[in-house]
Amino acid sequence: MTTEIHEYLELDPDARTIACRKCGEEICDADANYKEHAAIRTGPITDAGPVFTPPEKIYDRDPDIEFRQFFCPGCAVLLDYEVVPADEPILHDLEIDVESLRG
Amino acid sequence: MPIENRGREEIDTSTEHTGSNVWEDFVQGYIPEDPIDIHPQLSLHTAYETDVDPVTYEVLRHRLYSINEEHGATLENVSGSPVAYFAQDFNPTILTATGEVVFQGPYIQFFSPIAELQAKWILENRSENPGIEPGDVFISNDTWVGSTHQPDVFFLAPVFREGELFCWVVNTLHQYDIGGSNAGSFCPGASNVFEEPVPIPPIKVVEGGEVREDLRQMYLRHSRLPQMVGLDFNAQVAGVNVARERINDTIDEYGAETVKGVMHEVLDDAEQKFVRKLEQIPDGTYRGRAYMDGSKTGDTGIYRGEVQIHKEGDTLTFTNENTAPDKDAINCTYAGFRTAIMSVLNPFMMSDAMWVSGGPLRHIEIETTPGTMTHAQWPSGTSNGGTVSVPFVIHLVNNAVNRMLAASENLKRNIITGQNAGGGAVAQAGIDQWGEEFGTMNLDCMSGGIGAAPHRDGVDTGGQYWAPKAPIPNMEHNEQDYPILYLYRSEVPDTGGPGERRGGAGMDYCWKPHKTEQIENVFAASGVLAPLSKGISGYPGGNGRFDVVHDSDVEERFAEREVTQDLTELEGDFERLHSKAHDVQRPDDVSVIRNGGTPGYGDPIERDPERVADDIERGLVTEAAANDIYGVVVERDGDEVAVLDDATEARRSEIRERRLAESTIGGEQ
Repeated sequence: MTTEIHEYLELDPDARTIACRKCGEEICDADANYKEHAAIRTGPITDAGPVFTPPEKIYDRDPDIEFRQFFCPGCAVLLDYEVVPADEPILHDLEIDVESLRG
Repeated sequence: MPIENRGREEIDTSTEHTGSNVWEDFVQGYIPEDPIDIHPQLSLHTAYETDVDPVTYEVLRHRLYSINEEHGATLENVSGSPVAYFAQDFNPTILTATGEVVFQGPYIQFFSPIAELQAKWILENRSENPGIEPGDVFISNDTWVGSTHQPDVFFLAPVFREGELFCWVVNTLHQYDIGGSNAGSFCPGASNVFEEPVPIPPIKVVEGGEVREDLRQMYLRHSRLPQMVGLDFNAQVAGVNVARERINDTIDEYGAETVKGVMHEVLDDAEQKFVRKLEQIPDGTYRGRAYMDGSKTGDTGIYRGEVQIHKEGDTLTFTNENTAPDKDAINCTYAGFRTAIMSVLNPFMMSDAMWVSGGPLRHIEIETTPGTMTHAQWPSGTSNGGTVSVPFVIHLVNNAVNRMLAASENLKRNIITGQNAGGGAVAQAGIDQWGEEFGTMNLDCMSGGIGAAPHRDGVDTGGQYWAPKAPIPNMEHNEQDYPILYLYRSEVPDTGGPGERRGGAGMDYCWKPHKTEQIENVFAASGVLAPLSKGISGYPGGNGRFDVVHDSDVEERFAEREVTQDLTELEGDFERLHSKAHDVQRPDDVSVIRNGGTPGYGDPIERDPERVADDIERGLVTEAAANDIYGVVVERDGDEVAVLDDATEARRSEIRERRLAESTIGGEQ
């Protein structure tokens, strides 16, 4: 019995895996950061839409901000994004206690 | 009638009274222990009825809420200040005798959960000297005791019944100016609190019903506009007096034990509702992260803020690991962090008991690290708390709560993808159209989008979800009160973050000085460099900005009977300012501030193409964004926009293919 943990993700507490709800693609172990196992595209913040200003046009230096997108490697549905300085790690923002689901 | 003295209002009399460690509070921020230490000379009313009949309960529950509403209306009507009257930048609160929030008003939500801190601190540190007596009112704006920033001033009045402290009535009202290095009293150029308004810890400014004129003068003396602040002082005293009188009338009618019993049942009911929701959320850790752009005026650093929610059983523990150290003017205290939590949890999880913060707070632990941007130590600057730092923490909490609720199939409907992705406030000062000094905060900053949800789009220019009854002023009111002329307000295309459910669009407001030589604008914001809110799966909402065209041709255009609807049409020297900025605006200088939009929910290429076409017709999405992000191809016939189905399907397939072709697979690296 899987549990929905995100609009496009489900967790199987017995198999201890996270999979895509759209296509069933198994993405990673339940304890892992699914974003690190997704299809990751990075680009400038202007990729997020026409209303965004390149940061170097606001500051007098390039703060190297990047727009990261995380897609299901199976069906390419958009799972999440981050707008971060390029040297920042991918945030593990969804860390489910699998045992609590099994209980 | 069974009367029970239950645990929540028990008083610890087992040890000698010392109060809290005041000077540690003033440095680290006051964190009350449980139970708090009250001097035994203060008697508390602790008995209450435990089986109030349901009809009486409902009657009194609504009456207490209405008393709080009338308290707010009193502030609005007595003050006469535009901040109170036109923007309702205040909130009233009713607390139990020991400081739990029974009801908060529907105005600025982040004022009320920390009224608890102020009341508890007074109980611990003023119950012996100077004492807490009937008819007293305490005033405080101390961020290290329990305020969001120094301009948000608390008035706290104990309500006594037969010599015993029965409850507290409290109001908080944003002041025009209470001193500091910038008119308006939020000081984005400050390096520390000594360049800001003075934090005033709770002092008894009304004693036994008589205003202490010496202390009133000391308070007003800090301000550039003592007459205006004096109006608000009178309104705040009137507010607590009205609420106190109404509480006493209610007790006369129903009895103290019954009214107190209802207060406790309201709290217990909210607590149970919160716990029932927590039962539907998987245990785990949920995180939110965003970046503050600039620590003060002129700084171009980027500072990480992070919030973790550790959910275990019936408790949420909030931490702020990995957050940057406190610096310059970008900080909030423990109080700011604490109140940001409830600003999110109330609308997201407590819509069925939204005004009762005391219930959920029984199941919330906060373990923040002092000396950080979101738990600042004295003497870091905190005067931008209410305008920058607390909304910044609201973003962090919002981002983490969204992930928590998305993990619950039953609760995900309550997600709001975010508040406006970037924005702030502008304090304005100078000489007005009548030759008098003026100073204000332009409360157009209360606009911006409201986030999307799994079942609906966001609300375009919906305002702030943490201020449900706070409007933006009419432009005509602002033009009447201040020497400004609006060129336009407008919703901005593509600021509503793309998603299967689109985020709410943000707003530009554009003005120039009118009948004055110049206006000093002090801008304090965050999210100008990069958006702060994160939805679930969608794209970010457009962020904030502050643009100026100096020496523009606006007057020449007026002479030709042309009113500009877009700043970029003007000739002149264009400048895009940082998130903390100071600008002197002369009559030919035209400024525009953008309050951002909010993120979308779900993948934009899953959005119904007809909705995208409708958005284009309404000017909320451009055809370029429709093609590039939504994968919707349209053709236009006058004002009509029609979807080209085959081309849209092909475009969406192309987007999917490109997504994978342009990506790396993380696990395979």
